[in-house]
Amino acid sequence: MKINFIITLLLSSIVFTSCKEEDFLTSPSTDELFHLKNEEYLIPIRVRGNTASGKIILFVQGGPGSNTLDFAEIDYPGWKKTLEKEYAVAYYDQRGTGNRQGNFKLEQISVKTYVDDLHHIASFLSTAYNAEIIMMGHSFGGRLTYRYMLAHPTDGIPNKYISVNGPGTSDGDTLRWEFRRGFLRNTAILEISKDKNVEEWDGVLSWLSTRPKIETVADKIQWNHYIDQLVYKYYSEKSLSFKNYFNVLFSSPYNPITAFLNEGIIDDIRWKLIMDMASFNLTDKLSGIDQDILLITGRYDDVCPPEEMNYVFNNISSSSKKLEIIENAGHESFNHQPEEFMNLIINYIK
Amino acid sequence: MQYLTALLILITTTEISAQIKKPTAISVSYFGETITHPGLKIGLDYELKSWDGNKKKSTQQTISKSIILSSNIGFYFHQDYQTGVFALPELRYSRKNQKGNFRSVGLGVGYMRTFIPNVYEVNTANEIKRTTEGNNYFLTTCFVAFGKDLSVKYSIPMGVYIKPQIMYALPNYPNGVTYFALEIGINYKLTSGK
Repeated sequence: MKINFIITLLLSSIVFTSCKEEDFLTSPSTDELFHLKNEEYLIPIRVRGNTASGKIILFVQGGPGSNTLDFAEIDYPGWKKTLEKEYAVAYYDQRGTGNRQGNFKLEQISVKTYVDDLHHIASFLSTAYNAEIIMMGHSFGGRLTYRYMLAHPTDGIPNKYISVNGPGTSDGDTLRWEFRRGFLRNTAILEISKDKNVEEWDGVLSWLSTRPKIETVADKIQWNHYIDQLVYKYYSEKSLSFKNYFNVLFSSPYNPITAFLNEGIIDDIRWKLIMDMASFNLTDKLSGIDQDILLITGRYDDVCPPEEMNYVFNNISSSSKKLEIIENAGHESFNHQPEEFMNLIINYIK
Repeated sequence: MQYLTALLILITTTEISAQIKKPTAISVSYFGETITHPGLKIGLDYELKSWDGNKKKSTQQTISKSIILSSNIGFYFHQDYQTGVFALPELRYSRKNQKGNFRSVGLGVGYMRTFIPNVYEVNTANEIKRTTEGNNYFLTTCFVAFGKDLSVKYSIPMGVYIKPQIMYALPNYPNGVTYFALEIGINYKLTSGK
């Protein structure tokens, strides 16, 4: 009886709060973490930066399945002292990933649900902060941004869109390997002209000359081998420091075990999204995109090569579209050339 | 159903303990996922059985062994993730040597309610409303504990212990959610004994 009374007392002290206007005051240095309820699912969102600018960049993470709140916590892209000084950035964990909690079904995981979550978040942020929303997706997030634009051709909340290293093709798409073959060939010619790894790149050109198409598994493995040896090692992902791990363990909003040891769960979600993406032929539907969009990729991005981004650019019907290829950058163009990336974003948004 | 099962176990164990036995000790401990996610746990110990174990041949030491049921309540606070409030009966087997050093191993089954901070929803009129959200969990735990009974050497009727544990709460996608928690506490004897 006593135990029940104490529990009731503890519960009562925590619940029954109400929304106040000052919950979402704008400031040049906002840093707020909250959850948004979409049906029964709670989406964790962190808004950080200059909300007083009246503009919020809604960041759509890649992966799929990569966590985002820790990406923000350790300031992986380095935007805390750059982009967030100009605008606010909203980071959120996609459904089922990162800081999820509660019970939900794997069946809920689909691109359609992810697009619906995005619409919900954009609508919420726009109202809460009375702000313009700019949707910016990286990699898979860029592809998700295209899908959002197709799903909301006239009622989309953002007034501008940015796809950063966001491919138009999926793994099952034959066009993907046409772009990738072209990327390897063009990169070989470029690198030979720069007198860099000439012998190795000559070998690549020789290999490509016997393969007008890359179709077999063995050829795709060989393509990946050349990329790993000659491209990726110069433009790899940013490595994490001990300080990053320490920071995440002690100050992130995650339950560390849930977030980091349950990779199997994320794999299920990732696989479901990849299959869902593959079943939708996006390249055939790019002409349906006619919103204001900026496309950015790195010259050495093997996931979203410039050859592919050119195709996306040419097939989008928007009259307000822009393509930027960042030299000396790979798939993480924001980390490889942060200053140039930052300038491109600011020039586009302002 | 699981929620009801948990409550039933909790109430039954507590009631049996209260009616049959008097508590032998009260424990108070820091309880947290990490240092930055603090909490508190309070419990009453009921000794179900105790006996002296075999002497170690080499040292001629007597090992005191006991089986203890404890009723616990507690909470932890993780600012941006959740606050958890739980009631957690535990059963443990403990061994103590003549110097007062003890180690225990045990299991617990109980109920946990979480509260998720700063939750908002938008209605069809695009109005923002703050709402209260959380989850009910059937909570299980397994632990080891290491400590020292201060009454042996210092005549203080108290023990100190450290108790790392893994908690598993369900339902959660895909089945349950795992927590690591560390308990550091004191155990004050309410009756004189071993």
